[in-house]
Amino acid sequence: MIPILPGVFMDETKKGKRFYTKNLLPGKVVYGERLLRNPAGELREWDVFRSKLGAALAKGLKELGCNENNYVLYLGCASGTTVSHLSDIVGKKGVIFAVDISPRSLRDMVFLAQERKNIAPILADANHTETLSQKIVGVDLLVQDIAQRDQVRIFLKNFVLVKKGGLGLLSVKARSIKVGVAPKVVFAQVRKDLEAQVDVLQAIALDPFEKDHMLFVCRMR
Amino acid sequence: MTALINHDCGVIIIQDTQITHIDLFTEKTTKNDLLAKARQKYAGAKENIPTPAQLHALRPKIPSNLLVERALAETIASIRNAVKKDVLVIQTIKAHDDLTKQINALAKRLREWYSFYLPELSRRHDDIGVFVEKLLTFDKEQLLTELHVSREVSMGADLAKVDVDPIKDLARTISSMKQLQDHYEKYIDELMQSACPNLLSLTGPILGAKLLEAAGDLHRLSNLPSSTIQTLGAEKALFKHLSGAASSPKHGLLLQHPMVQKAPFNKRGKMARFLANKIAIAVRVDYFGGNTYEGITLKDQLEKRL
Repeated sequence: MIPILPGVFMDETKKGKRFYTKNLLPGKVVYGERLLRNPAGELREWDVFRSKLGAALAKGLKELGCNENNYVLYLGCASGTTVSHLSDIVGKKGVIFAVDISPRSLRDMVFLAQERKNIAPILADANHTETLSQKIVGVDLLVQDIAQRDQVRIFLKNFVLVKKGGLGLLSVKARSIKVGVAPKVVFAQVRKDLEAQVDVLQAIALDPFEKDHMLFVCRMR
Repeated sequence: MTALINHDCGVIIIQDTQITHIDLFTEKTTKNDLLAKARQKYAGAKENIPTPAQLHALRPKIPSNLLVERALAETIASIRNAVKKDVLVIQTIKAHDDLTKQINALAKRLREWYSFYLPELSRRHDDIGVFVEKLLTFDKEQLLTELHVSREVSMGADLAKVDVDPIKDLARTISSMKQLQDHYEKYIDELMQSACPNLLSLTGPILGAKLLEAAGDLHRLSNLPSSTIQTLGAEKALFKHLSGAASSPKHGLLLQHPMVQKAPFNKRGKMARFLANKIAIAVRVDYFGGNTYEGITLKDQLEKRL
């Protein structure tokens, strides 16, 4: 078991690589993940099939842009699978602003937030920066996983909320942007649109964990 | 130049681009109190929401636990307020569909089991509702007479009461599930009367509820173009068409509407399109508020067109 990124551990076994974060609330399971006892503390397995960031780790993500005590803006957080691991990483003094448009998904996030106390759930449209602005402060990292046609525009619009040098992780599903066009073509256009304003540090294809999905790791120029 | 920044965690005063004063929430103050106090003290100040630059500057000044607390309080209230009538309609129609699946599964079992006792009855009645009613209301003698079958010719065994009763209990369960479905249909009708009467008068409760389910909620349904409404439920065919491998689907859920079902095959596409067009209008009237007679007017227009 070795630390590969701040707060993230990897274990390589015959069955492949497994990733873990240190459980903020030892003994509590969030989504049915495996718990492991370790000299570092209790570890929670980061399921690479259920979390896009987890899949990216398995496909060689070099930088997560997330450290202890960081503030993270997560657009499209859904029920909280990935957020729970970011919550582990930022620890008691960090904050995850978990934004989603669906009350039903956010309900599970509220339960999670009431336990962990470092998650601020927000019911809002990621496009409405005005509404968001009244509930957050400047952040260290932006993560976005929204299935909308103009998600690149929304991503770039919200990137100003990230401090200088902070990363932005954009998870893109080819079909959300354009149906019927080859994914390769869609992703090439996404990259082009991103590079107009940011540097793309890494572009990771998430298969076999997610079909026709790509994660773009960006930094503001 | 003085600006008053309105943030969920408190009120911030900015003078000449510098943050001069912050009033954070405590348990004893409400947002309106803080705002009122600040407006008084800094009369004439411009009121704004925070800019990104200000949000970066505010980060060290607002404690993290306050950010979490305030977000939680707001979100909990928003989630509570998000439960509207269309949510209830959708849950009810989902329950209705779940019941249909269970009724069909139990019906198969009932038929097979009962047929050891009187197979002729199951063969005679295709409709499970009628089958169950006959089974529960009449005894074997009466049923044999009704079926015009004599005791010697029937392939059913003479089971004792203790063996027939468990079968009848299963029939009773199916019967009560069917009653629950009828009850739900009436309940959906009532809900839609108040939430979306125009959609209701065009489609009826079940189809209307299914359209709501497919769209997610009334708001989303009201935003859909009529071409999408026409093909809701035919996603497989639609995407096949979009990828070039097939012609466009004529209808999805709308096929369940009597006007589309009864139309001759070569007119079905047209009928589905007209229906979808009127439904789109009706739903917009329902969501944005308008004349409750629209639904009936639209239906008349449709019928005249026929």
